[in-house]
Amino acid sequence: MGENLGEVFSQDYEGHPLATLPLGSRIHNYRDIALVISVADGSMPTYWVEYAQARYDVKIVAALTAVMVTSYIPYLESHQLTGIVAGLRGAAEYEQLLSAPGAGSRGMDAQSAIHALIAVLIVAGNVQAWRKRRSRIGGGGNQ
Amino acid sequence: MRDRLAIITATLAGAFMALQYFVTLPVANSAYRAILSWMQIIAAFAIVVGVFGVIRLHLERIGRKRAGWLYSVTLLAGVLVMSILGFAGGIDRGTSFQWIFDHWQAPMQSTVFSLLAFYIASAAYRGFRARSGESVILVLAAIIVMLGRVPLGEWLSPIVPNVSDWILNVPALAAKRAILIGIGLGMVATSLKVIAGLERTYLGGR
Amino acid sequence: MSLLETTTTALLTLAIYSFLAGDNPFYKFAEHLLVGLTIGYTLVITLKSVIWPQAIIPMTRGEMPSLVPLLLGCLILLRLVPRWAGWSRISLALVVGGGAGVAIPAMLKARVLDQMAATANGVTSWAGWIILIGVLATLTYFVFTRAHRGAWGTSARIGRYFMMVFFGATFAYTVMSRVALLIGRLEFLMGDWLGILRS
Repeated sequence: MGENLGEVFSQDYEGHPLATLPLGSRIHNYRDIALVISVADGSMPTYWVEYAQARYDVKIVAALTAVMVTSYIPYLESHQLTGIVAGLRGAAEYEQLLSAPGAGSRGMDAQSAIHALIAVLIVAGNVQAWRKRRSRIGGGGNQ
Repeated sequence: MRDRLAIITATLAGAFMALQYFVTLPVANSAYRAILSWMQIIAAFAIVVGVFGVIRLHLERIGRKRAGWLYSVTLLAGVLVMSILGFAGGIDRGTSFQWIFDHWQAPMQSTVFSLLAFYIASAAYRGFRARSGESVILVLAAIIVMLGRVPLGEWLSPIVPNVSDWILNVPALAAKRAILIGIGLGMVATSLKVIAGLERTYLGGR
Repeated sequence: MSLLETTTTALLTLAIYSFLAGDNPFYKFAEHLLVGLTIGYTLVITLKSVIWPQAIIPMTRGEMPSLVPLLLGCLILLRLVPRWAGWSRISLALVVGGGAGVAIPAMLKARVLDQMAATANGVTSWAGWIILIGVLATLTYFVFTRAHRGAWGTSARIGRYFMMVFFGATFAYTVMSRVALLIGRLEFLMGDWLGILRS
């Protein structure tokens, strides 16, 4: 793909030959691409970083599901990635930038509520375990 | 003989693909592209083998009327419907193939993954115990990042998102970076062993 | 979307959520249907987007080099015949060997050298120094050929603390990811299907 895009992908997803697409006639290899945006729920951005950025210095932005974000922050800090859209929060931030609130911004209240609930569950579980442990130690002391 | 041929193939292909990175000759470049394309085609055939393996397994289950054979019928019906629609009607937008993907397959997949939210909530209460110094750090980092990455954190205090950002951009980054470097070195070492013919597990564990 | 369309999607969604009450026939039906559809989808996409345009069409045009991958692909298909399954190893060797060759420079540059450079260049700030210490400490943890005792052990222990922070942060983001999917499904069920939610 570094030399000739058409050799690797001769057609688009719907089967149209690349050369017949208006964009396909102008873009031949990575040199013609200003920015790659990888919207992914798997390890696709890693391949972009390892094969396209490392070898051809292509600029890459990754729109990731939240679960992948911590794994990609080192690439962002080392400028191997130009940017990250991080999960639903990233989607909400992107919507705010566009001044077009949508599903991302709408989900933030529910997301806040469930995060708070899980934090409370962690604390409650620990408090309960601590009380149980204390009563056990107390009971052991009486023996 | 067959295995020796396989090892020679792996060595030659591996050595060429690695060295090609440093070579700018057009002929080497086009050979590199050809081999990459061959690898893609072989991998596609491997997927076909996998699919037929699953189909054979379920046909056997139906044939012997094993427990749950009706579910195997459901599975094969799914394969058949998608295959017929995809090959006969095409995969473009607006086709039945795409409709099933959008309305059945993708929503079911995201539902399966969302099930985990319930189990995470349950595990948060039952298993996330701060018993040692290390687990205290883990629990604190989890709570701070969880609150800091949603608007609630900002509402609680501007410090929460700042600390959350610091955790992500400094200590968490350092650990992940070390893991990346470690995996990278490990993969390079394994790749060298494959090329040298020392790593042969891909031949079937012998 | 019509009501009939949303109802089929909603019923399948509910069938999967029924797993929360324990394994049951509705869940099993949906699970097997999902696996079947995914296999069918993968098969169609693989044949239509790789094998057909990259192997079959060039062959019908009489391009001789295209016979090589087709032949190697057919060797892989021999895996389905137990007697000849061993021949598939040659094709497999090309993928594994070629993949190893491609990976060496890519991994070295993207995962090792660039990451090390970023760590070294970052020491102009306090955060950069903490990152450097964290990276070195975590790396010492992964050296298993040396006993984790004395100064080395202390460094490995510090590395473990850094990893715990990473795992905690990753847990938080995993929560975010799964909750986002849950919100999406509930929005569909209560909004698109039942019409209770306003969008």
